[in-house]
Amino acid sequence: MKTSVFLEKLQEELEEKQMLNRDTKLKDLENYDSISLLSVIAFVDENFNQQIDPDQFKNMETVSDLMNIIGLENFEDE
Amino acid sequence: MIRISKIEYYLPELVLTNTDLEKEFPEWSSERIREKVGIVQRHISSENETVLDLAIQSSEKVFENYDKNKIDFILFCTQSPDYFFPTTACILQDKLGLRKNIGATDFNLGCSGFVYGLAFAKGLIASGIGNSILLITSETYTKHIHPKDKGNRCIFGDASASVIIEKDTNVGDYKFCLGTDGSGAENLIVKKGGFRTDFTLNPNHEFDPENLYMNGPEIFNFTIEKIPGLIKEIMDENGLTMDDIDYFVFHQANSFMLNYLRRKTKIPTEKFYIDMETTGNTVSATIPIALKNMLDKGLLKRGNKILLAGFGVGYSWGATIMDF
Repeated sequence: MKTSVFLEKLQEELEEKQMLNRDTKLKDLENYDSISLLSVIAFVDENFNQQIDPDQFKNMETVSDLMNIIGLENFEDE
Repeated sequence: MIRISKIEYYLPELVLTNTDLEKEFPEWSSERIREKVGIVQRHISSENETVLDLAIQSSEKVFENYDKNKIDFILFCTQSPDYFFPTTACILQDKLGLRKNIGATDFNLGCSGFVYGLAFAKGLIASGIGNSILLITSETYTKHIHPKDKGNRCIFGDASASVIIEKDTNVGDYKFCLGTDGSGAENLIVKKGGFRTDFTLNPNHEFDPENLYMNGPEIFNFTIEKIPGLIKEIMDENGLTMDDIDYFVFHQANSFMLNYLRRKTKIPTEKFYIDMETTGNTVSATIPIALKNMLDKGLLKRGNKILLAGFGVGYSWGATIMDF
């Protein structure tokens, strides 16, 4: 998946008004709460056919961290 | 083989609305709860109101225009019994004035409880042990939740549903698919209160050992992984396809998860029932409450083929198909 598409889709999934970039800190987002975690899980499952281990959420601060969890090999335009 | 003859449910009087929650937890928006979780209010049992009390109410309702002397077995599903012993179902037999020459037992299950109850009822009926089964799913999870646990207070509500299941040779005889995975035990649990005392609390548990702990993301993962396969399996086992099913009624846990599961399993929206707005997640009672509401709304009719799936705490899961 192209990184730019990923960022757009993730922004839509999280229902955020601001555009996301790789350094965006998830916890700083306006609507980010425990429900958002479920949205992220659904998003990754639907788009990458992967299930994230929720333990990894503890250390996930930025969008870039999420991309690393999914696996950078899944993204183009690196 | 089996038919649901009657369903009634009872919700305790005290109501906790999203507005109430917003006042206590200002960082939570009432609208976001309604939109994402699908709940506007939940009913809370009062301090001295137990699953037995709720069950008496729902059962007396179900006995209107029904001869309660026909009941020859009580199946009582709860995880919050009045006592360790005696069996809550035994006390209920007495309170409801049912016959004494009948069987009665509790069984300890949550989200999968109604489907398992149907499985037990089918076994009792098929073997001739019973003909008119009173299946009660009665739960008071709110008693386990810490007052400051906004997440779980938002989700769970208390309720009791009483369902009469009887033999019917004119309806289909469908298989069940049941599953269990105890490795998920720690993800929805009340650790203190039973006889296991050498437990350790999950590091993420913010409250007391006797309070409910739920790891939402882990349970979501479990449902995404298991449920699509379960739905396919139950249809394959019964030689049916999605076109044959009129309604899919899943355990009503939260609307976000249910909507995602519907998309993933490709169930058409009009066949997939979601409604927990006024009850919240009532654990083992969600499916019978949903069915009763569908009946009252004129959605569900006799002759409809329904696929039921319950999944969660345990982990435990089950699915079956019924001709309503």
